[in-house]
Amino acid sequence: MQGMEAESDADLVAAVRRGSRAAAGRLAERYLRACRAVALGVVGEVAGAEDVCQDAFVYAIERIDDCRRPERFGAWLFQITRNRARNHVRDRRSGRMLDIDDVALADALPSPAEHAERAQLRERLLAALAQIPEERREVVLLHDLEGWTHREIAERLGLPPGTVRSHLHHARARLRGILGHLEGESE
Amino acid sequence: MIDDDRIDLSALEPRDVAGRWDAAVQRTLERVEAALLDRARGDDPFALIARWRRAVLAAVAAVVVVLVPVEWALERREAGAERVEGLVRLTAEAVHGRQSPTGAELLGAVSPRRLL
Repeated sequence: MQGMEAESDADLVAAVRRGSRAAAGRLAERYLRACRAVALGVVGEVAGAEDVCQDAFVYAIERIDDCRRPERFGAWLFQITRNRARNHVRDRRSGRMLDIDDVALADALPSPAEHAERAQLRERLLAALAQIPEERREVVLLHDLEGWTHREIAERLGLPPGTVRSHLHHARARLRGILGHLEGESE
Repeated sequence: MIDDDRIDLSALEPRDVAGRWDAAVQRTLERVEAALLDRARGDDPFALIARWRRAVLAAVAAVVVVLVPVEWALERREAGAERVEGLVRLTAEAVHGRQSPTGAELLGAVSPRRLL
């Protein structure tokens, strides 16, 4: 995602309230991937994060009248996503869910070797991400995975730009440290 | 702007598995479409209640906040009226030649609820 879009979130939310499917689609285009990144930061596995982000987005559209600050739709959606992701983790811990991540991924990748390699890399990244604070994790995922700018993250998470830079800096340093350590262990 | 400091998180990329993310987006949009259709119908009384629940709850809370003290004040006033009525009755009986009220009767008249 590069640059700020022409239609503001407030315009799109107003259009969704009038029943516009196109506006809902634009919001999905703008936020669904980021929503997945936010969910991934909490859930720590891909399939669960994708389920959570879909549910959270649909819930947000169903409750669009409850969005009190339409210009901050993103922050509102992310809060819904975090709450749902925490519920998902709680349900998983209490054994109410089956982790189908590996099964689904194994079905879709071209070769077992590639699957194993990518799965290992993914596991390492997720394990490293799990060791940094949630807010920093979210910032590094939105920036380095989703390509959001500092400004976009600051505006949409409601954080001061300096805090975003600081979170990103510390998250990266910590991730590098953990990943380097993991590499050393596996050699 | 190229950011050389970026951590390579591409293994977490949604499109890492072909077709999977597109399918997830498609499913989401279908569910969104269904949600918007439900909103558009708008004739479901439960949906209407759900949409207005915040306002209804606020109104109920306001009514409770106003009515509870009013009810309390009215009860106090009613108790006062009962006391006056008791005293008037005792006085009228005394004037009409009955014996003077006893202390217990006077006490009962000024605090009628205690005798109930």
